[in-house]
Parts: sequence; C-alpha cells; structure tokens
Amino acid sequence: MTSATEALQRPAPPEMGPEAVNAREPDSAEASPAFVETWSSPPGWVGFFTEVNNQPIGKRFMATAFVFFLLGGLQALLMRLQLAVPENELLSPQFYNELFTMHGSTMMFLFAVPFLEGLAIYLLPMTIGSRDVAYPRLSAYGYWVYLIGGMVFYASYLVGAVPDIGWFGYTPLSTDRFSGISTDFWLLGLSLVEVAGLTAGLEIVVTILKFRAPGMTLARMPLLAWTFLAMGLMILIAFSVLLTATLLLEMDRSLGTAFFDVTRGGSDLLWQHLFWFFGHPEVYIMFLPATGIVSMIVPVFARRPTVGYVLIVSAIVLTAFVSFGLWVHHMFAAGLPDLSTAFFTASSLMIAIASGIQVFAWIATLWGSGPSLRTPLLFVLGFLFLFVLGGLTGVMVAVVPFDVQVHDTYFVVAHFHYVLIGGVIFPIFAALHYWLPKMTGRMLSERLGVWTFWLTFLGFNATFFPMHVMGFLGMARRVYTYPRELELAGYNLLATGGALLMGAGTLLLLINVLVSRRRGAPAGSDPWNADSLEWTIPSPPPVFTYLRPPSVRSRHPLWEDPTAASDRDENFASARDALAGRPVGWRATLVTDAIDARPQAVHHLPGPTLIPLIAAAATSLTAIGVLISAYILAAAAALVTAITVVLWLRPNGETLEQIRSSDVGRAAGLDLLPTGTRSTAWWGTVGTITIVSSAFGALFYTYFYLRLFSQEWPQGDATAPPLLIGGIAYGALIAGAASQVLATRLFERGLRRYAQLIGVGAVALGAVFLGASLFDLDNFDAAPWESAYGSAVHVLAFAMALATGVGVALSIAWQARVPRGHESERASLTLHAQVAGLWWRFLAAVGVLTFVTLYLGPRIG
Amino acid sequence: MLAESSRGTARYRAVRSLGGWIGAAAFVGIAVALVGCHVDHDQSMLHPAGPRAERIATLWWVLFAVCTATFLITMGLATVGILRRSSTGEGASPLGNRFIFVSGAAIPAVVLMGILIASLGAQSADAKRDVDFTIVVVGHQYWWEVRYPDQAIITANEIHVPVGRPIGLELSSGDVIHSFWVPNLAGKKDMLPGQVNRFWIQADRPGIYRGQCAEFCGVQHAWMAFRVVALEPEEFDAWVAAQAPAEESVPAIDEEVARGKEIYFAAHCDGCHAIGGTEAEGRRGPDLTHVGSRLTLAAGVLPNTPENLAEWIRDPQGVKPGNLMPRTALHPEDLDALVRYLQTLK
Repeated sequence: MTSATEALQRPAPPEMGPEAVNAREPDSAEASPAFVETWSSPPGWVGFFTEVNNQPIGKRFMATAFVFFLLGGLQALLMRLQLAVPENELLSPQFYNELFTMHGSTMMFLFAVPFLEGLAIYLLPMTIGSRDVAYPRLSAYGYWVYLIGGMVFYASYLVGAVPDIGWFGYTPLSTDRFSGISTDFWLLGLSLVEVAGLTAGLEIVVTILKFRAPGMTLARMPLLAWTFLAMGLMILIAFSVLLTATLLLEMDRSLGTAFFDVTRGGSDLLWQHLFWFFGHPEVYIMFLPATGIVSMIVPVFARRPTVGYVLIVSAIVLTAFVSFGLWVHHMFAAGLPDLSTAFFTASSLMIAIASGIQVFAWIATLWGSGPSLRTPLLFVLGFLFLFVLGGLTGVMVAVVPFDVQVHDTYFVVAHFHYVLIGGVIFPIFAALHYWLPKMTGRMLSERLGVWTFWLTFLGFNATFFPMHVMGFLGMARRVYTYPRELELAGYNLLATGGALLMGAGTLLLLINVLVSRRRGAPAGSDPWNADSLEWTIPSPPPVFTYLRPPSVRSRHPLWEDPTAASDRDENFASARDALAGRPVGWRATLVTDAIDARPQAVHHLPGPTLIPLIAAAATSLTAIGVLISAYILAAAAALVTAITVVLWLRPNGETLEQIRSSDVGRAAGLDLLPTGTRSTAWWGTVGTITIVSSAFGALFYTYFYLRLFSQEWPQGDATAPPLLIGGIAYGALIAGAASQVLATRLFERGLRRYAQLIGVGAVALGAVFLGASLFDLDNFDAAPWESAYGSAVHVLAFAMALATGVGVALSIAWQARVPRGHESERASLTLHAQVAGLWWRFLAAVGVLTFVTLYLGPRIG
Repeated sequence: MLAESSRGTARYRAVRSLGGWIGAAAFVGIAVALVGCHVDHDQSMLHPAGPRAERIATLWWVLFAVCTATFLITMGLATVGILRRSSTGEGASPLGNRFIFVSGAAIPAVVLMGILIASLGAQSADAKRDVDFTIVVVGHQYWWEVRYPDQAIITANEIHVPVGRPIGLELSSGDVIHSFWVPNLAGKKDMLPGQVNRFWIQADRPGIYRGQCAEFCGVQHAWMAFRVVALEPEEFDAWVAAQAPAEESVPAIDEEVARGKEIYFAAHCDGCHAIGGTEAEGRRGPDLTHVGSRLTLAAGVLPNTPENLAEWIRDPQGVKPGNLMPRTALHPEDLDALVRYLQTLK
C-alpha cells in the first residue's frame, strides 16, 4: 500500500484516536483479578529481585542509564572547567586522563546503548502489540549484569585505580607493560556490559520477529521496530567481536598470551581493527534507534503518515550493512595501504546517502503540515539541524587527505558530538518528552520542556561549534591542557560556557521529569493523537500491557478508518479472543509468523524468579575473580554460572503439564507448545549461533591477520601440525553433527527409538573430537605464551572445544530426557532435539573453517 | 490535546523557532569568519607552509563550500516546509518518494562522487616520492628522538630541514603508539612500536613550525611537542656542520663549567642522557649534545633559558607531572654549575 492511498483512507484528525479504536473493538473489559494476579510480582524486596516483567526491567535500564548519563555529564563539565583557560592547573593530568576515559566509556557503554535497550525492552512490546518481551528472564539477567558491570567500572574510583587509557584502549598502552589494574577494571567492567548488550540484542530481535500483533506484517511494522531490529542484529555481530577482543586483551594481560605483543609476533594494529570493527557499527547501533524515534514523532506532529516508508526502511538496512565496512576510517593515519583507505572512503560516503534519504523523508512528511512545535518536535527539529551538520563534517572526515589533518583533533571531537549528542541524545530527549506521559500517566511541563530545548540546543552549539575551529588551529584531542601560544583561549572559554548551559538544560529536564510525576496534567491514553498501538492502552500501562491482543491493518493502526476496512482485512478475532484476559495462572502472549504476522501459537512466559539474579551474580563474580587475580574463584563462579543456566533452561514438568492441559487457544487452532520456527527457543538458538559465529569470525580474522603480517608462519620453531589426528578429530565432529541432525529428523517423525540410537553417535563422536583435538594441541609445537601463533591456535582450539562441549551436553541432556519423557513432554523434547540439531549444524560449519585455519593455514600460500 | 485552540499558537511558535534557526545560522557564519581571521598561527592547518598542507587546505575550502551549501539548502527546505502551511495541510504530503529519492539520494550521490574523486586525486598527489634524505623519528613517552643517518646527527624534539626539498621520515616508536603531526606542513602519521611508517614533509618557507603528538600516549600526551625548523639550504648546511659531535677537546670556558661537567656524571645524568664526545652514552632520555642550542625544554613545555633549565632539573615532576625524568637533588651552586655546563653545549 502506498502512503498516498493510506493517507486517503485516513479520516480527519479529530475523529481518529483511541475512542475510535475502542468503539470499534469493544474489548476494554475489566481484567479479572486472577489475570492481574498472574501478571503481578510479589510485593516488597522479593518482588524487586525476582522481577522479570518487561516494564519494570525496561524502566530500570533507562533509570540506571540516566544516572550514568549524569555521571558522564559531570565528568564532561569537569573537563571543560580544566580546559576553560590555557595551561590550567585545576586538575592533574592523571585525573584529566581518567575523566576522558570514563566519560567516553560511560556515555558509549553505560548510557547510550543501555538506555536504548531499556527503551526497547519497555516500549517495543507495547508498540508491536505484545504483552512482554521474548525472554523476560534474559532481560532481567541482562539488567543485573549491566548494573554490576557498571558498578565494577566505577569501583575503580574507590580503589584509586581509574582507567586512563581512553575509551578505545589502544595497545600497547593498554597492555600490562604500560598500565596496571585500572585497565582490568575497564576491560572486565566492559565485558560484563557487553554481555548485557548481547542479551538485549537477542531479546530485541526475537521479540520483534515473533511477538508482533496479528496483521503487523514486516511491511506494516512501525519504523521504530525496524530500527530496533537493525540495532539488535548489529549488536549480535558487533558486540560479539568487541567481547572477543576484550577477552583476548585480558588474556594477554593476565595469562601471558601474545596477541598484541609485537615482540612475540603479535600486532597492535590487530586491536585497532577488532576494536573499530565493533566501534563503527556501535555508532549506528545508537543512531539507528534514534532515527526510529524521530520517525515515530514526525508523522504524529505532521498528522499524516510517513512519506517514503519503504525508502526509509531501505536506508536503515543499507546503514546497518555498510556500517560494518567503515571501520578503517578511524585508522587513516595508521599507515595502511592507500588502496584500502580509498575503499573505506567510498563506503563512508555511501552511508551519507542512506542518511540523506531519511532526512528528506522527514522533511517531506512535515512539508506544509503546519506542525505544532511542542517539545518532542522541537527536539526532533534540533536533531535535524545538528545531525545534518554533523553528518556533513562526517563526509569531510571520510576524505583521507583531510582526515589525516583533523584526525585526533578537536574538529573530530566536534564532529562526533554533533552526531552523538545531536543525533542520539536529542532524539532520546524527544522520546522522553513524548513517551514519559505513557510511562507515568502524567504530561511533562511544556514550558520547562521548551526551556530545556533552547538551553540544550544553544548550549550545545556554543560548546561544540568552536571546537571545529580549535581543531583547525591545532588543538589535539585528549590533552589535559594546551599552550597559550596557540591562542585557543577564547574558543575554549566559549565552549566551557556552553557546556554549563547544557548542564543547566539537563538539570531542567530532570526537574521536569521529577515534578511532573506528581503534578503533571493527566495524560490520558493518547495525548498526542498518535498512530501507534501503545497509545491504545492506559497510561501508565497495566503490567500485562494488553488485556486482549490487538491487531493491525496498516502502518498507522490508530488512524485506520474502521469504515474503510475491506473484506480482505482480517482482524484475527478468534486468536485474539482466545487470549482476551487469559490465560490465568500462567503468563502468555501471542506468537505470530516472523514475516506476515499470522497468529501461530500461545507462548508461555516465565513469572518472577531469582534465577536471573543468581546467574548474573555468578557471571559477574567470574569477571571480578579475574580482576583480582583470584582465578580459582573465577573458575568456581563460571561453573556456578553454567549450572544456573542449565537449571534455567531445564523445562519444568509442572509448567508443561499446566500449559498442555489448558484450553487457551485450542479453539483458535493455536499451538500451545510450539516447536521449530514457531517457538522463541528456535530463534534464540539461531541468535546465539549468530553471536558465537561472530566471535569465531573475530578469531579467524585474528589468525589470518597475524599470519598476513608475520615474517614467518608458523612463528618461532613451530612446524605445521600433522594432518592425521586433526583430520580424525574434525571428521568425528562432522559425523557427530550428521548423527544429531538425523536424530532430530527421526524424532520429529515420531521414530523415538531410532532417534535415540542414532543420537548416541553425536555424544560419542563429540567425545572423540574433544579428546583428539585437545590431545593434538601438543603437535602444534607452540605454547600459547611463546608466540602470537601459539596464542591464536590455542584460543581457537579451546573455543572449538568449548562450543563442542555445549553441543555434547545438549545431546546428553536430550538422551537422558527421552526415555523418561511422557507424551506430555513430546513437544518439549522435539524442541530440545531441534535446538541440538541447530547447534550441531553450526559446529560442523565452524569446525570445517577451524580445521582449514588450524591445519591448512600454515600450509597454504 | 492538540485541538484547534493550540493550533493558533503554532504559527507564532514557528516564527519564534525561525528566530532560533536564524540565530544559529548567524552563529555559524560568525564562527566561520573567525576561522578566516585566525589563520596566522604556528600550528594551524589553514596556514600551510608546504605542498602537502597546501593541498589539504585547498581541499578543505572546497569541502567547506560544498557542505555549507548543502547544509543551507537542507535547512532552508526544512524551515520552509515547517512554516509553510499548504492548503492541503490536512492530508497527504505534496512531496513523495520522488522528492526523497532525488534530494536524498540522487543529488547527494553526484556530489559525493565529486568528493570521492577530489579525495583520490589529493591522495595520489601525496603518494610517496623521491626524497633528498631521510630522518628517523622515534616517539618516546613523552619526547621525540630525531636521527639523521646520512649526516650522523642525533638530536631531540627539534627537526631541522632545508626549505623547498621533500624530506623523508621513518617513523616508529620506542614504547606506545604516538602520532607525528606538524599541521603547517602535512597531515599526521602514526608511530607504532615494531613497525616503520614512511612519511615525507616539505617546507616551502623558512620558519619554525610547531608539531605535537596526536595519538594519546599516556599521562603527558599533552606536552609531547616538537618544532620543525625550516632553514634556507645554506643555513641548513651550516647547522649540519655545527652538529658534528663535539670533541673531548672542547675546552671548558671556566672552572664552573668544568665543575658542571663533573656534576653531570656525579649525579648520574649520563645514565639516561648521552653527550657526544664524552663518556655519557645513556639513551633513555634525549641526547644532550647540543642541548644549549635547543628552542624548548621538556618537549615544548618551557623556553630554553638557564632559569627554566634549572627549574626543570630541580623539579621535573612539577614542570611536567608524570614524565619519566626523576628529580635530582643538588646544591644550588652545583645546579648552577650544571646548568652553565649544559648551556655551553650549543
């Protein structure tokens, strides 16, 4: 459907809105007490620690992220005070270097991404018509890990060993030769936050793909969901690479491997490649959801559908892809060949086109609509101004000869703050003014909002515009002071003044948020005459979100004209009725097809549990153990983590029986215990495989990068490993994969006995692989601390063994369950077999690549 | 909430917002004007003194013109679009996919293609070329070791070059990553341990050009500066001749200087700092063979005066906190003698 015809179907604004929807769909009945009870958390502290519902978890993410935002802002203000005048001695150089390291790391890792993840966890289910996210316990786990990771980060201030190596942690400055435990705080705090990010990425992707309201095909999905989908997928790939890189660096530091030690054949540029392969997509991980926010607000204030929806979606997809081909533009001065830098110039320019499409789509949507300039739109317009400016300086720095002049100067500081504050924080502020009324039920003060906007906007420009000039005049980045003779004083003083204005703006926002909670005007369900589903439910929303699952027929469901509904439009009444105020006693939501959003199944969602907190504490303790060099503690905590995860994933027989015996959805033909692509477990496995594949990709990259730039390969006295044992090991792995895949097939067909018999092969052959491949490590003739080659082969082999161990454990657990499995567990066992099958397929694929790398890598070329 | 009543104020608000936009645009204009006025700095990339920086400055002004025009047109369109209430305000936008595609993708693609060509052109013009001779520059926390292999000169924190000649640089690092940057002459090039990055510079005007480390390298990254001194060819030759390692025969001018030299060894300065023609062969710190003729001390922190030199030796951690030079406790008289000795090393 084109946007023009959509617009024609839309009635004049005053008639649209929730009244029309409610009138059309008389399902706003009272929720039964038992249903409310089903969705409620226990009172008090127990409820607080066992919470898994998306609304409180999402709010916690956002609130915690906002606290870190205030800390990061405070650090920025301190830096600006130090830089206000030349050769200032207000702060010590060490303290200043700690400030900019913590500021960058905080804003990137502890504020922007977690805030957007929190927004997604809170808002996405409402916007796409679901009751919760796909893995409620996982989002709770992610939150706890994030919180503890952030606290580990800041605990460095308590022990007086604050990270001081910059948010990019370039080696060798970040190796143990040049930095102490402060860098471990940075690496391990970061690792935890990355783990949290990965869980949120998985959560977001599967929620969007499987929990959309019936009728919300991909082509009707709100643009916010498109951007979050892109964000989630990018997190799965990019964060995984960063996590791998930080683990490799931590291994160099604490176990003595040699990945980044040039004296033992490692490479400093390898760190830069891995870091920026994450670091550039990271920018778009933050920026894309921000554009999604803008795309939600613009049509509402223009009171008309988005123009160029398909073009915007294409731009989002293009941005997500191309963002992985840009990383070298952070390394133009590093001494790479001209040809490769030219390629990265071209791809960097390409991304400007994707942004251009979005900008002009918003302008087209607003064109002549006479929008009312209330706070959310003001922030969106401010975003437009700042982002276009920052985007254009981005085009400039993509030009290699120009970049090598302004790289690591204040010109770049100006550029990326225009893109990140203008392009991300302005939309986040817009989102706060726009969606907080939904969260709290109270409007923010418009007067304070307008003041916040102008203070922030003018303060921002006064702070960052002069920085372009400072860069030209020779002010380098990451300097705690600058010489008088460079005559930078005036610009710096202006920038400091502007920063104080921005600080005042932020303070005003905080006041507005706090005051409005008590005194704000009641918001009602739809204060903006908006178009998307979240505005049909009360503000604040009930904990179950939707009493009866909604359905949609267009991109702007609240603006649909009920009278224009054609016979072809379905409203999926039977599936939605099946879940109206039900089930009771267990939480559930509707699962729909990933593409055309037809109802498929009723999905059971877990209730309050301590498991996420325990798992998060154990995970964090693993990192803390490494941090304080208590490796036995770390190993024990890792073991506890693994056990907790097993308990977590173990299906609960009682619950299964409760679901199976329920009659919810049966009449509507919905699966109660879905398997395969109808289940979230299947999608979660695919997502996990994506994460792990990306980590293996980083390891393969590491191996071949080192090989490419090494004088000799294998390094040192090592010789190429003999093929025989390796061949046996990897042959066994592939045969094991074949037997598990076959066993899964047979079980799906009901051939339980044969499936079990064949499945034994996976366990046995997996064990053969583990034994043979680890035994064969001796034949590589290179200890992990001897050379980078030794490090690379050991880490790769151990990673392969670990992944295989997971596969073997999945198969053993399945074998153990099958004989005892009653008919009621059939679906659960099928799903288990499917998950094992997926995992073994992945093992076979990555096994071939690992074999080629380890055994043929030293021989080819 | 957005009923008719609030719409009445929409235009007023829009006008007020326009004021803000104009203010912001004026701000942009003023700031840009400031760039124009302030080109006469010794570390400004807009004040080029050599062909490489010249090319980049030209490229910048082209980029500036193109991007400013793009910015103004885009913001102009946005402003008009918001202020202008079309008769069809209630309904579909008069603009559709074609507008978005043409203005957001097609036109930018053409402009960006032009920028890409300009970029590649400037990049290839900058490619490696035949150089007169090569200087080895090694970055250290937080100073610059400078060697002239052809002329057998070792110095620190100052690079003397003849004007009008392309001079090769072999850049590397003795510890962490640094980056070589003299904006008046060229862009920057990183200096990595275990790797040599080749670079070249050329100064077309005699002068002193300030440079500094551009990759964060530790606590005193801010004060890791150096100077490029561009000399007329004959002056450069004279400088080279004067750099010949001083012979032991260099006479001590007076007793105090002779004592200063003794103190140099007694206080173990020689453990880190070499002085040509003497037994001082330490290499951890800058070579001091001609320290008396240097422009600055401590890699650009202080002008080279006897008072500053004394201050630097007395309290290096006060002058440049976190640098690797330890404090040396000396009698005031001994310090004076040491300073006098060092000042004679021209």
